[in-house]
Amino acid sequence: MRLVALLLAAALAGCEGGKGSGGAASPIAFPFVDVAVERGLIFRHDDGALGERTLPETMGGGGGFLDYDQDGDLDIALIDCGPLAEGAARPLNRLFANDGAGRFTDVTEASGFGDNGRGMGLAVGDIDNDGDPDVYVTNFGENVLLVNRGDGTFARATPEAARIPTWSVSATFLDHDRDGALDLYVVSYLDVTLATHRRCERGELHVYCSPRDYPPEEDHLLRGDGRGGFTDISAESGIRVDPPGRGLGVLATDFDDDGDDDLYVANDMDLNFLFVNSLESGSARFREDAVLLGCAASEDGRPEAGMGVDSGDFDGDGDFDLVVTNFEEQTNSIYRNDGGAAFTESSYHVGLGAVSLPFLGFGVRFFDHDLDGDLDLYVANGHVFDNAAEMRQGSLHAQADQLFENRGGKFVDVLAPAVAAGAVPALVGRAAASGDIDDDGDLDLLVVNNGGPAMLLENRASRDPPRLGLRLEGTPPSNRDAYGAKVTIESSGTGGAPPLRQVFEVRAGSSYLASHDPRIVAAVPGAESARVAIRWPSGRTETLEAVPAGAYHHIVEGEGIRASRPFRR
Amino acid sequence: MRFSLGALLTLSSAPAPPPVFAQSPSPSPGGEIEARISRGELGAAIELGVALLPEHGADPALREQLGRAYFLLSEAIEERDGPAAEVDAARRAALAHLAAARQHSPASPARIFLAMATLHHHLGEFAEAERVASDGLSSRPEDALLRGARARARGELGAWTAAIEDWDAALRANPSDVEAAIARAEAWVQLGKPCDAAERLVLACIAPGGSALTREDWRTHYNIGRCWLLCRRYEEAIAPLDRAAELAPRNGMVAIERAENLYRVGRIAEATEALDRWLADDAALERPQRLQAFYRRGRIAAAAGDVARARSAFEETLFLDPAHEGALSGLGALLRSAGETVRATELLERFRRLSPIALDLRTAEQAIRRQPSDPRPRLKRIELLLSIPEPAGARPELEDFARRFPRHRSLAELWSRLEIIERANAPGGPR
Repeated sequence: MRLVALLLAAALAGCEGGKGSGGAASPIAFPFVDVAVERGLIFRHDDGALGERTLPETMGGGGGFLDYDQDGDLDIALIDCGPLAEGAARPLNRLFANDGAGRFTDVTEASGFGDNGRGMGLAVGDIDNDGDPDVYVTNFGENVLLVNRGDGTFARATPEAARIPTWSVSATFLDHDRDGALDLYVVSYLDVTLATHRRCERGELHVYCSPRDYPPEEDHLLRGDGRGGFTDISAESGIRVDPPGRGLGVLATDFDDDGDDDLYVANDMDLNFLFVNSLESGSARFREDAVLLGCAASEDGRPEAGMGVDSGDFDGDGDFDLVVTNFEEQTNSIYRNDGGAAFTESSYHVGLGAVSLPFLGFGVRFFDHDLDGDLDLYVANGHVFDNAAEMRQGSLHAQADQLFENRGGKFVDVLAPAVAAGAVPALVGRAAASGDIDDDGDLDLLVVNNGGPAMLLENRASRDPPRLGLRLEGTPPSNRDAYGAKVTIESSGTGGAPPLRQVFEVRAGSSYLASHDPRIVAAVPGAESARVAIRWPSGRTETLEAVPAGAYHHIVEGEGIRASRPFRR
Repeated sequence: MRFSLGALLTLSSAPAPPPVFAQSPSPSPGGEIEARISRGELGAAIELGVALLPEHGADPALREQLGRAYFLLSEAIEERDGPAAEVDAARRAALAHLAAARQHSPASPARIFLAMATLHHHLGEFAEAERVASDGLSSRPEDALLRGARARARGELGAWTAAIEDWDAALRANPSDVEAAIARAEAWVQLGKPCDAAERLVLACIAPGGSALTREDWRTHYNIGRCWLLCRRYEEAIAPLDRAAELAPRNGMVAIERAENLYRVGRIAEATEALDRWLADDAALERPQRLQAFYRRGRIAAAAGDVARARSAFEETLFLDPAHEGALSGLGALLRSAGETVRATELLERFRRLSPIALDLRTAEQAIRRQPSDPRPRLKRIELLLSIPEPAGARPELEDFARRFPRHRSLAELWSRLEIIERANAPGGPR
């Protein structure tokens, strides 16, 4: 593969590097190396495009990490699409098993994971609290719930409420009412079918229609019963908005730090939504307040083309900030949480202004790629118009992704020099998910490209700095995945390293059409151990002193560390 | 604005009209008509010309004089923001007389064709404008002004490649024609090639060997900067915008664009300084530019953490346009952060109500800039503002509309609707 060759060649030429033990920032060309092909992850997304320019063709390419066989390493699920026509032969979604040494084998057939819906994305969660991950696949058409039997196979068991026969895109599991059973938020995009598809033109060019050419579709919130059943509670939960938004990305995060999950939905050309959860007496009720809380629109007060979304405490002030990817000529938006879930649009202020204008971002992920104790940012870019270059000089369908390194609260695109040199491949990025595929204690990336190959980007930026990993398991009344748990990690650095306090949340869903490794990896610069404080979804709090660095720790609610496994080298 | 040439020229200065009547027509039975036109007594000139028509109706010179008088009358009415219907009526009359002049004199001078093409263009009849200009060019293919007229018409018809060919020819005939160079760049932009547009504008106007006229014209540099911005080469845009600001220090468009770009590339202090200097120099500038300048000053100050300055600038913006979505959300966010939650909520709620119609409001605004004498986009904006529960901004727009189109048939109904809504919104009103 050209991509692999390029990246490996650059890495071997000594281009990798980063902020590390040397102190001063060095020019980083390739912190990641695409190992997809050499590790056996052979997948090419089929957009199904046949020249009609039907919108779902250009929106897909989902994927994520999960440990489907519970063998302790991360496996990979990839969601394909194929031709949209009813009855057309379509490719199956794929599941790749990790052999523990970082090599992947296609187990689609044996696992029963394969589905030939017109796939978009997925959400991963243990819906029946039996200790293994189940998978919800969103489609252009009916969605599918794949329940993990616990023996390495899946059963299709989609409850009526979860079918949602419209066009679903991103989805996420959360326990919004803190009853210990995972619920599900499903984002729907447009009210369009093959029958209502229109031909759209710009000048003499046949183009994909604007989302404004179709009415928005309503999102859904489904309450889980913990046994695989779901009930649609959209109407009574407060997530119905009139008019609905043309949603693409979703995220559940406790923005106001009151112990329950709020929901943020990135809408395409409509104001984004922030559903603030006021959980009282076990009955959650959401109120849409994005405008009043300052995270609905651009700096100019305009709705943008929201695609992907993620949250993280990038400025280290203890609350969760937001990032939303948008169309070209729009910045990717950073909404800085001022405390209490009031936000300030800060894109230019943090360095994400002009650098993101030429790109059309989809998948997005806050993560500490170089393990220096702050959150960096990865953005998967790619235009929706396959003929973008004909529409406007400088626009490209295939675009290079961006990696923004956090330098004191300002983001610097560290891939830019390599992109300018033409050394980073341009593809049509959609889903981007993070996960530690080799259990070495740093986060790797899965990027799914529309109509192109999936990339598995192995992290080679870090130079083995002190860090620790956490896998949380909730006990009733928490959900077993511990989705929604808040984790505060405090380390008192030695040898000149400053004390560090970092906050994380346990969750898998964010970005675009993606699901992440729910484990937490945190740098603990200069320290051999850290203090770990956990607020479980049940509300219970626990503090573990002197949790050692250098390992993944399996922490069970009420029990403490059940097992530890050193990072691989 | 006499011509609407799209993104570039819409944002640059209004191009001067082509000198359609640069030479006086030959003496005619109405020699007195010419004298009256020269004195600006257009009504009297028309009255006399019309009186001569029964006897001299077939005289092309008389017809041309009448066409000219009506043409100038239409401009005069437009200049004083007179009723659009009167402007159009004068244009139609001018066209009729010029067509008659052409009919009675097959070898009509180029200015007749140019005037007719211009009038058709003003009336939105771009296909007719192109046809008349083509007729004129058939015997005078090197006429730069006719080339320009046809290029403008072709641009309006979306035939940008053909427009570029005409602009190329016009520039070959007159390499110092800044407006032709800019209009050609606009055509390249419209073809989706802003980088090519910038490069061609540089070559045509400021490359070695070019004309000093074009090199020292602020519009050249401003539009080169704009093309680089559209090409997303923000750093490249800095120098031409700086130069434009040197050449036109009191030009608000230049100051605003330059400040916006400096902000974009992270030079916030310089951006602030550029706007402040301009706003301080000329407090009496027209509303749209002051509005933009205050808003951008607010936004830049907010990003720089200068709350007091941002707040003041947003307040000024909202004074000028109570429906400004950016100022509503920007000031709302500032006040919320400052703990002034009641006013913050009021502003943000207003922003939320406006938001569903904001895109349509902006589209209508762009249409107004393109066709200021067309009442329809203005009506659209007023209708939109009246469609939300609190019609912030509808009254000043309606007052402006009434001044421009005092006999428009929708006026009474619009006033009535506005008054009903305002009464309902008044303190103690029946909400």
